[in-house]
Amino acid sequence: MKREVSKIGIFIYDCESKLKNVLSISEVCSKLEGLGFVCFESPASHFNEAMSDFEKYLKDNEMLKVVIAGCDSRSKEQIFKNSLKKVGLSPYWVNFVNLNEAIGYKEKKKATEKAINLVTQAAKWIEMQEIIGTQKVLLNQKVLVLGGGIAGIETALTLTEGGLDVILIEETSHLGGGAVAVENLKGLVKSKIEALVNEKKVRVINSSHLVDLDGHVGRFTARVEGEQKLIFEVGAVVVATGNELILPIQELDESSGSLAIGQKDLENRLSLSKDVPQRVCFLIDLVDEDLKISTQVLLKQALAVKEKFGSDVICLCRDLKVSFDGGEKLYEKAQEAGVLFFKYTKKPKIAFSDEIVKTSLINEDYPHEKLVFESDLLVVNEKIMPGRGSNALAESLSVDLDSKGFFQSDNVKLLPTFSSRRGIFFVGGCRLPQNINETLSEARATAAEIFSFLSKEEIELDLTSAKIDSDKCILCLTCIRTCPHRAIVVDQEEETAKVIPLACQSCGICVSECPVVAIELPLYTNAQIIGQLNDVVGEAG
Amino acid sequence: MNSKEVAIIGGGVAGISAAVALTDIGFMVHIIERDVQLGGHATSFACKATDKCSKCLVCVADELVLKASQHPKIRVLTGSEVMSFSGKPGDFELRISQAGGEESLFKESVLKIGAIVIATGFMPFNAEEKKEYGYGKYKNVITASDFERAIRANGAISRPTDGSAPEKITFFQCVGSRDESIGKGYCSKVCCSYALKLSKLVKSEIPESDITIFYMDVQPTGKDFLKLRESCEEMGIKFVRNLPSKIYGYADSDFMRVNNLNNNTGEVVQDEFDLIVLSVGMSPQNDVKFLANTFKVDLDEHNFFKGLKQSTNLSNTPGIFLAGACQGPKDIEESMAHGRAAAAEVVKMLREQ
Repeated sequence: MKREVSKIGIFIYDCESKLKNVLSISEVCSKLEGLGFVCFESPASHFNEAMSDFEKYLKDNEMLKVVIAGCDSRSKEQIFKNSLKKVGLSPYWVNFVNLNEAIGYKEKKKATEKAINLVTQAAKWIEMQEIIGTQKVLLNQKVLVLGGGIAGIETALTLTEGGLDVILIEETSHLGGGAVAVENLKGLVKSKIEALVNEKKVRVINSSHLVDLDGHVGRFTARVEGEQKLIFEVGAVVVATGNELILPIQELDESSGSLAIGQKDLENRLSLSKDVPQRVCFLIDLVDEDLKISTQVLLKQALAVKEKFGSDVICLCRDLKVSFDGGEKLYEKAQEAGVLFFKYTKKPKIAFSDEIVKTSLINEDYPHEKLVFESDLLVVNEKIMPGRGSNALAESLSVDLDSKGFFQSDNVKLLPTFSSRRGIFFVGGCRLPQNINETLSEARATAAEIFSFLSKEEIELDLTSAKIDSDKCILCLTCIRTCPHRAIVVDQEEETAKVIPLACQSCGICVSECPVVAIELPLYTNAQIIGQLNDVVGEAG
Repeated sequence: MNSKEVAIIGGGVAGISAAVALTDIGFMVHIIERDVQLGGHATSFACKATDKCSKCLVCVADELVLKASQHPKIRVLTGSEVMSFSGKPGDFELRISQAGGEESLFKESVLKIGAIVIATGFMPFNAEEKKEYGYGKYKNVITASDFERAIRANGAISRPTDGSAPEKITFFQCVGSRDESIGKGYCSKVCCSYALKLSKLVKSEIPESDITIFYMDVQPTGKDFLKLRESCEEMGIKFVRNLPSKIYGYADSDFMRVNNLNNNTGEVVQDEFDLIVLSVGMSPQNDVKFLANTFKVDLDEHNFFKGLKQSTNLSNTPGIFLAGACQGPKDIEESMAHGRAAAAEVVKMLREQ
């Protein structure tokens, strides 16, 4: 590229006369002009004045690229970029220098030198910045939701509010998932199912599952199998496949027989109005002690058993995890009703004999005392496991599972339901066992995220994603293997690896892994980085 | 006619998350913030990373503030408060006053908007209400909020009396939570998580320090909470299940005495500490009653805004939505998700209009 430094403007402004006293701005300017750049020192001493100065400066000079040096925080950058946009300059052809970094020097000479250094480096960097192209990308405005439990239903319903069409795939023959079996959620789930079935923008396909997903965000192709084989083109995929409950048999004696049941079994008994014996012992936290759902279920069931059957109810747990809406109040209500609670640190011993369960533990308030409870029924919390098909599903989606086999969120700092692949989301219990309010909230949050992204059929994308030089690429597939976002594919015709701009998150892993240095990030090119390194080494030498 | 503008009351993480989500969908948003700057409590908390990130998400708040203040479709009205409101869903008028007008001290203006999101957050519990803990009386008794701010500002952990590193530190859980005697019969959800993360931070900064956490029940949050708890135990942080009833101070000493029950022997033992951190819970904001009255929305028995069963983002008044900890205690992650979920509810309502 032809060197056109005269088209690069340096705009320096003081911040409330902070700089004037510690360094010489005119010296910085003359040095930069010596290098061929065009420098302008704004007389303004305040940000707002500097802004109007800057706008005038842009009008009067025909600059291509700009370096803005002052001492305002990052929060002001966008305001400058907006001015650039107004006069039709690229927001990628601007670089910012925070001269606060130079102020630290006590000597004026050193501070000025540092400022010259910072501004020169920024100018050189931006000089090498090539133009960032754009690309029009078509987006498919349909969304595939996997799982017809409460998480999937709420996501689907909210998506339709944003105007999107939804295909909902359910593995079983009916909607509702685990929540239909829960006594006090039945009504809510039923009304949501009704709304979903009546919604014209949703197509529900029961008894089916995803077998393969191809493509990338905005343009996925999903193959679904069940009673018939179907193919769908969708823009985003939501995994809401829930989880499964398993009785922690290994924790219980084999002779437990029907004396020990899970919380779900008890829920069924209660909803069928079956009798519950006179002495009931609840024991939770043998497994999944860091999940609060078991406490939530325990409190509701203990209270129900006490109120309906007048049984003697004893609850043993490691911690009463009341950190859910209304939790503490429910705990108090159960205590008032006569339910007894004991906490343990060391796991209680359980023995089964002649239709009686004996549970013994140390009384933590009086550690020398051993408590022994006899009961006719022991209720334990089930272990919450990832859904049976999770492994296969994760494989066909090319996404990760966590150490327990649940779907792994990518970056909790953005939204916990983001997966490592753009356009694929994990909602509800398939990601983390959670209660109904949390699930509903994250389902709606995810839907809002999707419909803002898929609201247009076509978007214009700035090509800041990684670029592969097809002449250098030897198709070793290293980049394809190492890309955590599955944003690189093989272009068979051109015989090169190719980045999908919309799926790329510009993390730079492929750039550093490519053995033949064929990949670059357009905003951090090798030339720019090497140039800067040379300056640093030169400075040190 | 439906307005494509929304007012958000409160510019903390929940309010900003709702604002960003709404602008992504095509709305223009006004954030009405009482304080002089955006960010709420989260921007005063400390990063709790030890040798690796503890996922406390405090840094996210700073990012959100930056995003909101630069966003062309978000109008930030700092130093402003709600005065009155009228109209119907889709067509509200909100009168606000903003400090710092040129002619007078306060400038009044009217916003025409389609929906209102209340995201006023919480107040840390005022520890002076628990007189027996001597907060305000003993210098080395501080709240977790004080502790967070001090770590954020100074980067170092010190005891207030003389500024030196504390030797024996303790966290008292459930201060202003799960305590019906002071009208706080609810769990604040966040204190166990932040106390565990803070104690790990202290232990890694001052390895020779002796740390005890007095608690009732450990409340888990998020993935891998068991790992966090176990890592605390491995580092030698002690968990004692019972909350001391009183703190006794000495004249001319950095230390204070605490009586508590030894879980192994059942005996009452005396312990001395030179830094006591009260893990204060979340209390409702001080202006909830005024807002509840103004917008005709219900409060729950603890004075948090009452969400509906089908969606905690909905209040009992159509067009008035709830986001974040003003609806009940929430951590940063949950507040952010709740904020975005509120955006989805706004879209739904304006579609149905």
